[in-house]
Formats: sequence, structure tokens, C-alpha cells
Amino acid sequence: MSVTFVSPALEKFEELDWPVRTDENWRFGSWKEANLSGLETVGTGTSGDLPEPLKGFDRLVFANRDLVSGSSDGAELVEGSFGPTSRLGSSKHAALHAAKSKHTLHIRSGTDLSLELIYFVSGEGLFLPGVVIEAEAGANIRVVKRFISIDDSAAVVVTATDVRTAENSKITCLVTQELNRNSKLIRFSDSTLEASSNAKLAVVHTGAKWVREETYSTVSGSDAKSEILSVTLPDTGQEYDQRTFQHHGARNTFSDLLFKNTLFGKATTIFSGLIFVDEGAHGTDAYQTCRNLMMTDECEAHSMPGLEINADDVKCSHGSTSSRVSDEEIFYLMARGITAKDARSLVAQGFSIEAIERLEDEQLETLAVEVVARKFAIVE
Amino acid sequence: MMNSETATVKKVAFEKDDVGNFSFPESHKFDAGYGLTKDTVDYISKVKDEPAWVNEFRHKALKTFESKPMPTNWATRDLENIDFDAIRYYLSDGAQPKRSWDEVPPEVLETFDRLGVPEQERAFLAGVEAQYDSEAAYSNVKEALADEGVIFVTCAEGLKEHEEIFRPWFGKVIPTGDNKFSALNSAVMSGGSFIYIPPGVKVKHPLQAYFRINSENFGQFERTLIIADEGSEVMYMEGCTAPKFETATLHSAVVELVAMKGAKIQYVTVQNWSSNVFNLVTKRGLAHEDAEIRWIDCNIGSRLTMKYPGVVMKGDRARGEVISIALANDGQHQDTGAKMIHAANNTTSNVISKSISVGEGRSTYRGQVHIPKHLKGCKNNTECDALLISTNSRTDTYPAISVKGNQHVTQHEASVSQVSEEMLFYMQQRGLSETQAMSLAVNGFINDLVEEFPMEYSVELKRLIDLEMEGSVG
Repeated sequence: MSVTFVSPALEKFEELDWPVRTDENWRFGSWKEANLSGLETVGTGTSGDLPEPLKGFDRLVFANRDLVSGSSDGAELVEGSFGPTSRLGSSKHAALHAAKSKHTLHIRSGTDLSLELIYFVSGEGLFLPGVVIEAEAGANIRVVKRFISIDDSAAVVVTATDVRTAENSKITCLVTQELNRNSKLIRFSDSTLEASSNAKLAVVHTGAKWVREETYSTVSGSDAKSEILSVTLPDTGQEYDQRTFQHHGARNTFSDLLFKNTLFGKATTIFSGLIFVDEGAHGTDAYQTCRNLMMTDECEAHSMPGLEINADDVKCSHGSTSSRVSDEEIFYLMARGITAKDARSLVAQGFSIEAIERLEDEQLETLAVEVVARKFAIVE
Repeated sequence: MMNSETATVKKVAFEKDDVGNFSFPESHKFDAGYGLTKDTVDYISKVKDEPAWVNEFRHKALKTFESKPMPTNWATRDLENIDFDAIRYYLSDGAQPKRSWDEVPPEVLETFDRLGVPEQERAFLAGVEAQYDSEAAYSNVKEALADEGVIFVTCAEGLKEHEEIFRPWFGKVIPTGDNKFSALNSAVMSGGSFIYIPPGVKVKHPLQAYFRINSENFGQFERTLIIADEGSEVMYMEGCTAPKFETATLHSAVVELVAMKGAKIQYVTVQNWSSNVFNLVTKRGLAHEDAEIRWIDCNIGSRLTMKYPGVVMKGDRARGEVISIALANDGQHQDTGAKMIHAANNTTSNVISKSISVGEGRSTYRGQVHIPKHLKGCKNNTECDALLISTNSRTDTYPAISVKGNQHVTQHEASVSQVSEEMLFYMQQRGLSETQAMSLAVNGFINDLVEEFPMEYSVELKRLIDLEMEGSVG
């Protein structure tokens, strides 16, 4: 007689359905790409060439699911997934993570901590990393997280991060996604901010063929400030689908979102954002901006900037634009002896850097600019 | 503070509804009864003595209506409260409208008299149609215009007597299957206008339609088609009221506009249904080369309004515009917006929406801008501003902008704010009461849009808004 034990997480995963066309959270999105049925988790991987280390940062290196080198006083591996929740459409994927992720990296500090995480991805199949970053009162944590492919296999990365800031703490996190063009990434980025804390969460996407990213930020303490930044540079054969939610659950809270997409070739981007202000969350200050820079006549950008406001004493705004590099700017640079091609590239890189500068952290900014420049070197 | 505020808002809501809050006993020669079946459709076709193709069109639409789910995957669940079996789909005294007010039955005449329609017709209108429940009671256009070839008749007359102009465009701008409610309208449509403006004719004074619901549990499904031929111009205005019944009433219209090369159509709506009406309307215009279509829309009444006027810019350099004012008070949800479909080069569209939420009112902006592949020089500008008056007021914004290619410029901006304490304080310092100050601030907020309405309407609008604002300072 055999008894099969099914965990509640696995049961939930099996109960849920993959996204379908009529799902409002998947409007304009490639819901078919999201169907991961039949995929097995990846086995052990190999390590690649390590990038130059960041000065003053502890470094942990992962090859697929295994930690292969490095250690930090502020981080430990805990068995199993922390169980991400998805409220923006990919609950099946969140359940998948909860059911099958091997371990969670738990980062916690009450003082200053700088940590660099390198994820080398290789082989075909599912890879499900998870990270919890917890800043205790008064702490200042900086985290850099890089996803780097070391072969051309079609990997599927479903990754979840949960950021929690206690009173008067600060977390700055930069994620760079440099996967190969056959891979997919589904990313959950959740954050909860207590009073007078600050979180700056930035992401740079240059790789992968398809990315779905769900960012959910809850500002639940007064005078807390949540900043969400994104720079993407998709090219032909790449589609980035980003959904965001800025949730204001307390008085006098602040959030600011800035997404900058530069689209090359036949690239597609989708942005859907919502600022949600709870009843009674007066004194909310919330902003949301998505800008698309269209570099070719074949790229395509969809923007759905949304607001749901249930309190009257608020300042909220959103803006969304799609346009190309203006002729005047090109002309100005050409008049100074720069070729048209270089001028376009220069203006476009400046466009991305505007978001990167908001990190206000020289080391992180330098890294982000490098990743952006590498993509420009390929596309232009 | 809260209690007195709620009381005043209620009083104001009552006064506002009072304009149209009266009804006469029903006396219908033709009544399709409650509920919607194939027989209802056949009954309407028979009463209206319609050609076979129209009856066939209705039956097909009924099937589409039945097969489509309620769009509650994105829209409010309040839609589920509509009981299609408890609605009467056709009530009339006969399908032939009168050409003179003298021939209109006395209670109908009194209705429109109280609403000021005949008076306005004398004062500044080029033509009027007045619809009472399912059919137009009165329809007339100034002789001089008729001599120039302007056609302004009911939709039923249009499809029978002007089939050669009517049929090629009917159902082409808004296909039956566009959404559940356009299908419903196509199945049971009755009333509405057909307008044709011949090439080069510029109609100086507006044409007006007035829609009145008099009977309880009644659904009004008028259908309007306006064709402005090459280089012509027309302004069309519609107004509407209903008495406040205990039960919910449904109004589901379809309005199609066709502006041929270089033509210009302006469509003005002042919607002041009583706050038990579900107002679910599909409106869209097709603009050919160099043509311009403007929707000027004001929503003050109804329980739930869902209306997203659209322009399909099919010809080069066509222009589309939506100017929208919405005011949501207690128990109201104004879900309005705009749809701009760019389908040719160098087309431009502009959307300006301003909403005000008072008490527990909820206003929503929903927009769509679409610029497909291989076009160049398209421009869209969208601005939506929301003003929240009370602590429990609510506002949402859900735009969707799709752009393909780098030859275009689109920009979207939205903001939410309240009337600042400083502003109110400043005005009170100068001797205005708090209410006057609030009214002034709100009127200032929408002033530039109110000016887009014809003068007679903008005066009325300001008055209605003053009434809504009375004592609602929270």
C-alpha cells in the first residue's frame, strides 16, 4: 500500500488555472507564454565567469538552485519557498513557486549591509529562486541581484522577492536581468513599508524573450516612501509585460514610480499600473510615470496607467507618453559633429539614465549604466 | 458635519431630479409586455411594419445578445442587478411622429412643455425630435433646411424611406456584436433619429432630440444614425429625463456617426436621467479624410452610466475629439471615457475629461487609444482630471494606450485633487459663503469645458452644478 502526500501548496497549484485570454490582468499580454505546464525544475548548474566584484559588498554566487560560493552574516538559506502571493494575474505561478521552490534566501539586518547576488542560469527547465529582504529599525540594506545565462538553453525563471522595511529603515535593491534570448522570466516583487522607511526598488531588463513582472508595493506606515524604477531595452523577439500596484494604506504616505522603455526592432512592451488609495489614507502623494521611447517603426507599446482613489485629501497623478527621439535633439548633436546614429544612441541612453539616477547610489548606478550600455552596443 | 452634509446632498439630489420628476398615467396602444423573447422582436417588427431584412437583423442581434456574457470581468458588478425579464421593451401610441405640436397628445405636449422643448425650438433650434417612451411623438425640421435636402426623421422612417442612404451605413460603425448592449439595442431598437446632411450644407443652428421615459419598468432603446456628406457641418444635441420610479429603468442606445470627406459633426449630450436609470450607451463615429467628429458629453444623472464615445479616424488627417464632464453624487456611478482608433496617417485625437465626485459618488474614466502598424504622424492627447469633494467620494482612471511605430506622439496625463482649503478660505475672506466658494471652485474646475457647450446648455449646466454643490462641503 502506498500513500501519496500532497502539500497544501501543491494542491493549490493544481487547483488554479493558467491565464486565459479573457483575464483582465492579461489584457494585451501573451497569456499563452505563461502556460508552463509540463515543465520540470532544473537540475544542478554550472558557474560562469564572475563579473568584477562590487567594492564593500558581500557576494553570494548561485549556479541554478545551489549556492556555490560566498557567505554573508546577514543572509541565510532557509528550506522551501516563502510563499509569494500574486494579486496581479499570475496566482498559478505564485502557487508554483510556493509548491516547488527549494529554498529562500533570507536577508536580514539591523545595521548597514551590502550584498551582491549572482544567479547563473543554465540548462532547460524551471528555476525558482526566492529572496526575503528584511530591514530592521534603523538599518540600511543594499542588494544587487543579477540573473545571467551561461548557455543558450530555454530556461524559465520564476522568481519572487519580498521586501520589508521596519520603521526608519532603508532598502535599495537593483535587479539586472541578463538572460539569453530563449529564456523566460516571471518575477514577483512585493514590498511592505512601515512608518518613515524608504524602499527603492529598481530593475533593468535587457535579456530574455519574454518577461512578466508583477510589482506590488504596500505603503502601510505614515511618512514612508516607496520608489519603483524600471529601465528596459527590448529588441526584436522580446516582449516585456510589467504590471504594478501602488497601495496606500495609511495617512501621509508617498510613492513614486518611473518606468522607461526604449524599444528597438519589433519589440513589445506592456505596462499596466494602478495607484490604489484606501479609504481614509489622506495625505497620500502618489505618482506614476511610464515613458516609451520608440526607436523603430515596428515596435509596439501598450500602456494602461490606472488610478483608484477612495480618499479625498490626496495628490495623485499619472502620465504616460510614447514618442521617438526628437529631430531637434538629433540636429543639435549633429551640429556638434556627432553622427546621426551616435546622436540617437546618446539621447536614448540619456533617457534610460534619467531613471537610473533616481537610485542615488553611485555603485548601483554605475552597474545599471554598464548593463544598459552593453545592450546598446548590440542593438545599434 | 457628516449628517448635515448627507441631508443637504439628498435635498439637492431631490431638487435636481425634480426638473423631470413627474409622470402621466400610461395609455399605450402597443405594449410588447415584460421580458425579451423572439416574440417580442416579432411584435416590434409587426407594429413598425418593417421590411424583412430589419426583422432578420433583429433576430440575429437577439442571438448575439443572449450569447454574450455581462462584461463584469472589467465592469462593475452593479450590472448584475439588471433584470432583463422585468423590463418592458416596447410601449407606444403608434409609430408615426407628428409634425406639429398641435397634433401631439395633450399629456405628451405638457411633458415636453414643462421640459421647455417647444420653447427652445422656437428660440434657437433648426429641428427637433421628441421621443416619448419607444417612439417619437414629434419630429420636425425647419422648412429652409428641408429645402436644402437635409433629412431629419425618425430612424424607422430613415430605414423605410431613405433606404439607399441609410442601409449602407447602418450597423457599420457599431456592429451588432460590438458589445452585449449594442446587441440588445439592435434586437429591440425603436425611436432615435436619422439625419442626412447633403454635401456642402452647413447647418447653422443645432438639431435637437429629447428623450423622455414616462413608464415604469421600461427600457428605451433608441437608435441614431447621422451622415454628414462631403464638406457639410452639423451640430446635434440630445437631452433626456425620466421620473424617479421605485424600480430600475434601462436606457441602452446606439449612436452611429459618419462624417464624409471634410465634414464636421458635433454631438452634444446633456444626460440627466433620474438616479434609478441604467444608462448603457454605445456611441461611435467614423471620420473620413479631413473630417472632424466631436463628442461633447455631460453626465449628471443616472444610477450607472457606461459610455465611451469613440472616433474611428479612417481617412488621412481626420480628427476626433471627446470633451467630457461627469458629476457623480450619492448612489451614482459615472463610468465614462473615450475610444480613439487611428486608422490613417496624420490623424489626431484629443480627449479631455473632467469628473467631480460628491458624497459617496464614484466616477470612472476608461479610455482606449489605438495606433496600429505602418501609420505615420498620428497624435493623441488625453487629459483626465478628477475632483473629489467629500471624504467618501471615489474616482478611478483606467486608460489603455497602444502605439506601434515611432512616427507618432501620444501623451496621457491624469490627476486627482480636491478643492484646497486655502482656496475656500481665501474666497470666504472676501465674503462668499462656504457653499458659494465651493460652487465657484467647482465651476472654475470645469469652466473651460462648459464653454464648449452651446450657450443655452452651458447656462443650464452651471445651474445644475450649483444645485449639486449646495451644502456638499465636507
